[in-house]
Parts: sequence; structure tokens; C-alpha cells
Amino acid sequence: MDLLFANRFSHSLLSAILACMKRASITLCILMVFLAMGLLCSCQTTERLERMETQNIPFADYMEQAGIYSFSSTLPVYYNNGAQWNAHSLELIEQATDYILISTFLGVEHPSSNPVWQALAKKAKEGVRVYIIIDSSSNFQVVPGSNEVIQSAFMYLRELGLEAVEYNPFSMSNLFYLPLLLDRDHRKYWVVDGKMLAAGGINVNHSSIDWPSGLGAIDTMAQVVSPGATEAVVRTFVQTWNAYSPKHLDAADFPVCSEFPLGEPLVDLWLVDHYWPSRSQVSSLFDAFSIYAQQELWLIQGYTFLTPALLDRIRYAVEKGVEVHIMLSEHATQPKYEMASRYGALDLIDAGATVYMYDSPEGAFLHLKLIVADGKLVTIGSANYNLRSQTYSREMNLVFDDEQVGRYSLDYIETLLKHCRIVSREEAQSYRNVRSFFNFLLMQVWG
Amino acid sequence: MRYLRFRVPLVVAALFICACKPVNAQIWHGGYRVSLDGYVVPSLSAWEYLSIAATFDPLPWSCVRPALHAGALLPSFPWEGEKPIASLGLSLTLCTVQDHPFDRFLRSDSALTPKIDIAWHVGSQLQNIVLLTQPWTLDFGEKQVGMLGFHAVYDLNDHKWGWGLRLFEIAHYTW
Repeated sequence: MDLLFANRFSHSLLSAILACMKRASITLCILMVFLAMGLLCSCQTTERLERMETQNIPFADYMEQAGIYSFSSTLPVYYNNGAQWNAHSLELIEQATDYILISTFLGVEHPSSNPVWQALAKKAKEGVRVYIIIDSSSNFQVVPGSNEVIQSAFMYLRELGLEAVEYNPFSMSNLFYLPLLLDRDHRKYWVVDGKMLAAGGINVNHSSIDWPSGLGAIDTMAQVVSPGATEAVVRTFVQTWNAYSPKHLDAADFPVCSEFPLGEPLVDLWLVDHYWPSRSQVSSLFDAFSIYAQQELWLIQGYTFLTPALLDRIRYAVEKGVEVHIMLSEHATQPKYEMASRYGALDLIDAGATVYMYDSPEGAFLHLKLIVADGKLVTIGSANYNLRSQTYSREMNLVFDDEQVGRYSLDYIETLLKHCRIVSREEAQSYRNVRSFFNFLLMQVWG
Repeated sequence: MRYLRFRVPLVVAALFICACKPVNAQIWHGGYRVSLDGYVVPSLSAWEYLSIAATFDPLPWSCVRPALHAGALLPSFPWEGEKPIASLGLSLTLCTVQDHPFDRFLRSDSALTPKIDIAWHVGSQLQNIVLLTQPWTLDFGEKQVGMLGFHAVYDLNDHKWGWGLRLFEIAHYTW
């Protein structure tokens, strides 16, 4: 008898119970708390940004004060869609000789992602140490455009004999303190042999790597060689692992190569590893781009779910003369995400930003989280421009202050613009309806 | 010099505690604990008590790990005159067994962490010392689940012994 199957059933029963609970009443209570927080923040945002800008603190010092530290790094290499990253990840797995650490928000058991898990299992049998952290949100995945459930990869990984941990599992014990359910690990990063670090927005799931087929989401993983940042990421991986597994790891057991590739130019990389409230770095990151942008600010943020404070950052940048451009996207995996992000388009336009709607010819969703200021300050990672990324979600972003990285990023944005239209005020007004409003509220805590 | 009689056990205990080196990166320090208990004690109701407590786990030791807890026992039928009972105690996780026979039946990795607990219950005209032994406690990392613990209860007012069962316990770390 497959006893693991019994565990799957009991876990699915819990999921069914949760789904049947009166979601609206629970959501409403949580929303009221978050909205109140958002409103309070709004009263202070503009004053805080003005105060910080008048202090004239250099960017590096600002980041250090915010607890975001810099490390030397090679220039990032971008893998700009799910299929591209998936192919590269299989190469990385094949080449690994010592260890592979993977943290993915969503990891599913699906024909599109199973080759990755099977490649990792093969490597584990060859003696490579493989450790995987998957968020428990992976239990709630469906095929885009349908109600067909896709299983989380967690049990499949255990069947393959892989070491895996589920971040903050949805379980009966959570019923005694429901707000804990909001704590999610949204980070996506890979460390291979202590030589390579990749971070970005691509999950190991169907929507990221193979929807639409052969392309996946328009999203980026940025790969760097940075011993200092890699060490920090290894430490955070081990800490997260040890919090959710009784089988503890030791960061000292995962050596990091201290050498850079010969002849490669080096830049400064700031590592944002957000954990609210003790290490609340995403808000500092968003503040930094509002303050230090002087001419132009690009936000490629398909999951923009505005709050007054987030809107104030846009307004602040516009009022000091910065051209602010925000790119949303068609073809979200679920309509509620699209409705929620579009609902804020009118506010962004009224705040003075130019709003673009990306419409992929292949029907892919722009899942990318990229911000570029003045062609020099760049951040790429998992953080969305919304309240969840500022609070309950764990996030990881790489930040660069370099013209080469800026130019590389802007060149990429130019390719995206070929498939964009500018959203007019009339179009933005058409997105303001009751259904969109409720999805906009829901996404403040769910998105 | 009566204490010299205990020098060998004391030294052994001290060595044992020193051998429990801190686990490198445990980051949980506290949370809440919920349990369902029943007692056969004259001063307590025959019905179940739902116990809710805050727990503080300051020392990241792999064995003889202490945790403080403070909370209340809530009677099942408060409308029949039963009142909540305050509770303060100390639990000790005796050891951590990683590869235990139940691990393969469970969804997530777990460690068997048997524990003992001593608590002081104070209520209206009620004072009990409660000793709990709970061999079946599973540690999942962010939570511990225990079942079928045995209470030995000493009533400080009546100077009588009673007993009880802890049907289940869930301790969930939140910070």
C-alpha cells in the first residue's frame, strides 16, 4: 500500500476544507488590516522620501544603512524566458560536481518540470548533494485557463529520493493562527557548486517554463559569479532549511569558490534578501529607486497591485521631473491577476506615469520584475511592486549600479516595447469596475 | 557535605549537557502551543481541557533542550461553572532521534523528540503540580506534534495524586 498516497489524500482534504471556508469573510478581515496599514504608510511616504533625498546620501551608503550589503560580482547574464532558463538549468545540473541548492516559490510535478527533478535525482545518485526548498503555495497550482490541478512537486521529490523541504506548510496546525499562512517564500534562486548564483523570477513550474509551450513566461534569471553574494545566499538557504526541517544543515559544509573568472570585469552587486519585519528590505529598495532616479524610471512589473504608498513613490518621482514608465502585461495565468494590476492603471496615469501593456505575440505573460533608473541603477529578482512583496513574502533581488548593466537592461526593455501599446486614460478607465476592484483588494494579500 | 554523594551524577549530567552542542542555525525562539488534555483529579473537571500557551525556546540544544511555557487550561464546558486555570511550566526535550521508524509514513521529514514537562496549575482554590511524559513527540522543524502523553498530577491543596492523558499537542513556532 502506498502510505505516501494516504498522506497526499489527507493533505488534499485539508486543502479542500480551506477552499470551502468562507473565503470572503476571512479575506475581508485581513484586507481591512492591510488597507489600514497601507493608508497609514501613505501619509508618511512622501515626507520620508523628501527627507531622505535632501540628506544627499550616496547610494552605497543608503543601501548599507538599509542593511543591504554589496559584493563584487561579474556582469549578470540574463536568461529571458522560461524555456531558455529551463534548458540552461539542465546544463547546470549536468555540470554540477559538488552541490546544488535550489529555492523556488513554485515547484510542480508536471511533464514540463519533471525533467529538472529527474536530472537532479540522477545527480544525487552520482553523489552530488541536492537540496530543494519549495513553498507550500505549490499545492494550489492549476493549468492556466482551467481548473485542472497540478500537484506540488514536494511528494514527487521525496519519491525520487531527493532532499526537499516545504516552506511553511499548509497544515491543520495553521488553523490555530491563520495569519501565519501569509508568510510565503517567493524567492527563486540557484547555487551550483559554490561557483554560480542565479536569482530572478522563474519558478520550476509549468506556467514559468512551458506556458506557452516552447517559450514559457517572459521572465529573467540573472546569473552571476560573486563569491560574497553566494556565501550570503548559502547562509540564507541553510537558515531557511533549518527552520523547516529537523535535519539541520551547516553552511560551512557548502564551500564557495573565492575566485572570479579571469579577465571578467567586476561590478558591485547589492543583495536584497527580504524577510519582514526583521529584515524589511523591499520597501527600502523601492524607496531607493524613487529617490535616486533623476531622469527616467522603468518598472517592468506585471504584478503591480498598487497601494497609496506605492503610488506615492511614483508620484514623488514624477513631481521631481523623472519620466516614469510602467509595463503591465496581458495573458496572466489567471484573470484575477490581470484585473488587479489593470485596476491601478488609471491611478498610475493620473500620477503622471506612462503605462504600457505588453501583449506577447505568443500569448506569454510578462512575469519579469525589473526596475531600471537612469540607465544605471538596476534591480532584478522576485520582488513585485506590491504590498505582499513589501511585507509577508520573502523576496530576493540583485541590485546593480553600473552603466553596462543599465544599458543591457534598457536594450532588453526596447525589445519588449516592440510588443507594447501605451494605455490611454480611456482604456484605464474601462478597467475600473466592481469585479476588478474586489480582485485588486484580494491581490493585496493573495497576489 | 551531602552534595558530595551526588558528585558523580552531577558530573555526568554536566558532561551530558555540554555534549549537546548548539545546533548551528536554529532560528526559532518561540510560538504557541495547543493541547487537549483529560484528567482524573478531584480538583479538575472530568471533561477535556483545551490548553493554550505561549512557548519560549531560548537554547538551541539538540538534547535536554528547555522551553518555558505560560498559558491557560480552558474547560470544555465553562457555562457549567468551570473556570480557566493558569499554567506555567518548563519542558525538556530529552533527545533528538532523526531516523525513527515513523519517518517514512509521514509527508515531511521529522525527528522523534521525547520530552518531559513540569507545570504549575493555579486556579480558583486549586493548585496542582503536573508532570508530563510524552515519548511520542515529532519535530518537523517549524512545529512539534505530540500525542498520548501521560500526566502525573499532585494536588497541593489536598496532597493527593491523580493522573491524566494528553491526547495531542501541537507547538507551532512563529518567531
